[in-house]
Amino acid sequence: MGLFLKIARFREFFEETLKILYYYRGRVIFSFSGVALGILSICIIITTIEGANKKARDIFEALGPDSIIVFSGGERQRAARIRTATLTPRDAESLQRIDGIYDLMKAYNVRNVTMRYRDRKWQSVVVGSTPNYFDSMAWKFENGTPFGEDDYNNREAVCVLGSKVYDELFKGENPIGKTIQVGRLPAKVLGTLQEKGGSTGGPNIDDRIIMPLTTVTERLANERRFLHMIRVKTHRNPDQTVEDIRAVLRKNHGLEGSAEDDFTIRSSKDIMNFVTVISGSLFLFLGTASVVALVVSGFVLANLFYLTIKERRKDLGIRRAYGASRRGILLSFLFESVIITFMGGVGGIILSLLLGGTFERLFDIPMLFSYKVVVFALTFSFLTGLFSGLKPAMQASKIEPIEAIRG
Amino acid sequence: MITLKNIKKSYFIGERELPILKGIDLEIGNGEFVILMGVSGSGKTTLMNIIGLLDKQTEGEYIFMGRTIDGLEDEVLANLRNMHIGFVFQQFFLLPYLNALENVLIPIVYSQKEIKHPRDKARQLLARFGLADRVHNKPSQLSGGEQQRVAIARALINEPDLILADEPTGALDTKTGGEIMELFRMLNDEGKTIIVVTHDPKLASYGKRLIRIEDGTISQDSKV
Repeated sequence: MGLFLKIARFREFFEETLKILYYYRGRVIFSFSGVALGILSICIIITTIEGANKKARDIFEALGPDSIIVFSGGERQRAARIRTATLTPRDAESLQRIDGIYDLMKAYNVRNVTMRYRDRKWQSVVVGSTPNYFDSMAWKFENGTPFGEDDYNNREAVCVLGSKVYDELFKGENPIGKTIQVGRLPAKVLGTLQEKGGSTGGPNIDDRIIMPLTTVTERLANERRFLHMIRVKTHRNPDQTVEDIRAVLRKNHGLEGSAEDDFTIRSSKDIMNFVTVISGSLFLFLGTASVVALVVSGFVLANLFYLTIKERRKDLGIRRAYGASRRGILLSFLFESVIITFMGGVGGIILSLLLGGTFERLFDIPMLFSYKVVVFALTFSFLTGLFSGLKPAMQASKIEPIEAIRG
Repeated sequence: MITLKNIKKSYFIGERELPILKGIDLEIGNGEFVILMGVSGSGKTTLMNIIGLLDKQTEGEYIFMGRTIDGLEDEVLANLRNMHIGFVFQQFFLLPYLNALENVLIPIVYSQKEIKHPRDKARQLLARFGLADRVHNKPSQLSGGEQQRVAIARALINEPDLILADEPTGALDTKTGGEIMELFRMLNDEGKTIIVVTHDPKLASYGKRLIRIEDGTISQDSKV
């Protein structure tokens, strides 16, 4: 507390400082804005990274660490969004026999299917899957029940609605037991799913209906040869299982030597890695931007301070004459610059709260606002004020009172 | 209160020595009202700066309030100024962004003394100097005389032992200047030690003791 001994009355000191800032408000606003923008981008980085991490954890938890997904089509086709069906029911049977695999879910999707209920129409995706689909996706029911083994084996025309489809067709009405038209197939609604929402990129995950795979392939699409996705769970080391799956599928598909895979395997770990890469590049980009913004505003602040020192020589002389020591002057200048950047920090936090939602919608990046953001932002703004104020404050403290006061 | 023994002060311009004070011996006691008179360049302001602990002598001994002022740290000097001295300047030097009341409160920020209710005290001082209705005015809204009275209130807020005034009437007309000098006399009657530095011979009659500085030495020291 030694430093504060020189400023005996904090209240008067604080009020004076605010008056000074108000008097030089034109300059203050420049520095303030710079710092606020820098802090804004720091806030966005942190909230985004926190959000991405939380999302990664959520996905990981939902999938379970032992989950492996196999998609039709190789990496390149997936990247180009070309949808080719290469997996077959025979592949599924082969995978089932791999050591350690204890759960298998398969799916075949039909896109752009028109669904009707009374006079309402909606176009969506029909996912044909096995009865374990809902458990496997960790998807809870809002209403009703899933379809069972009997429905599956008998190719029953039954369906479960995603919340988006339910909203569009029923608009709050009770759908259970009602019949909707799926393409040309009338299907009974067994249940509705809770909203998942918050999907990163791609189509709305709630915009789909789920029917037994057998019904879809044999009564709706008339396509029994292929599957779009197989998902398995394993007791064994996932990395090892991924290798086993690759070997089996390459053999089934007759791929030899250097031929590329015509399927894509994703484990929970891959998804985690993906999110880490995304947040890493965000950090790099926004981190650079915010550091630049802070450094620039720090320089602006320092230069404006130099200007004010010239103007405030008399002010400094008076203070020295009336008992301010060099250290007292140093401290009061530092305090001024820290107050400016601190306000900038608070401004940046408020801005990020206001703009965060917009940013989230615009770039589809999940954000998570936590106390960490506030701590980080305030620390950074404090340091900016300290460093940019240090040199001007030292210069101000070196002014001799008699020089300053002289006519 | 103040003892100066053979005080010398020189400025150096390159290699050349420029003597300003050439050996000042002076004693000023409690309750005195001294007019320190001299023409421009006589060294009176330098002397005042040394007495006011704003400048250091090159040679000689200065004892202030029983303390030898030599080689003291900036911190200690600042404390001594704060506790014992109130300054009044020719150009008033009020801070433009503070109103009258806040200007009076400036020394309080650095005060090592326990001044109770400084705001009330500042108000009382301003009221006493006829500025009760000017408390919230900015310096730019005050006349020269009013500004100087605010400055004197500022010099008094921290209850100093000594008031040092450098040409306090220099920027004022004769009548207003006279009023300011009357005010100093009133303060002196209440026991404050006052030193007024001036070049204006008309002010000589307000003090109780006249010290004339000529070419860096004391040429006259007499009771008025």
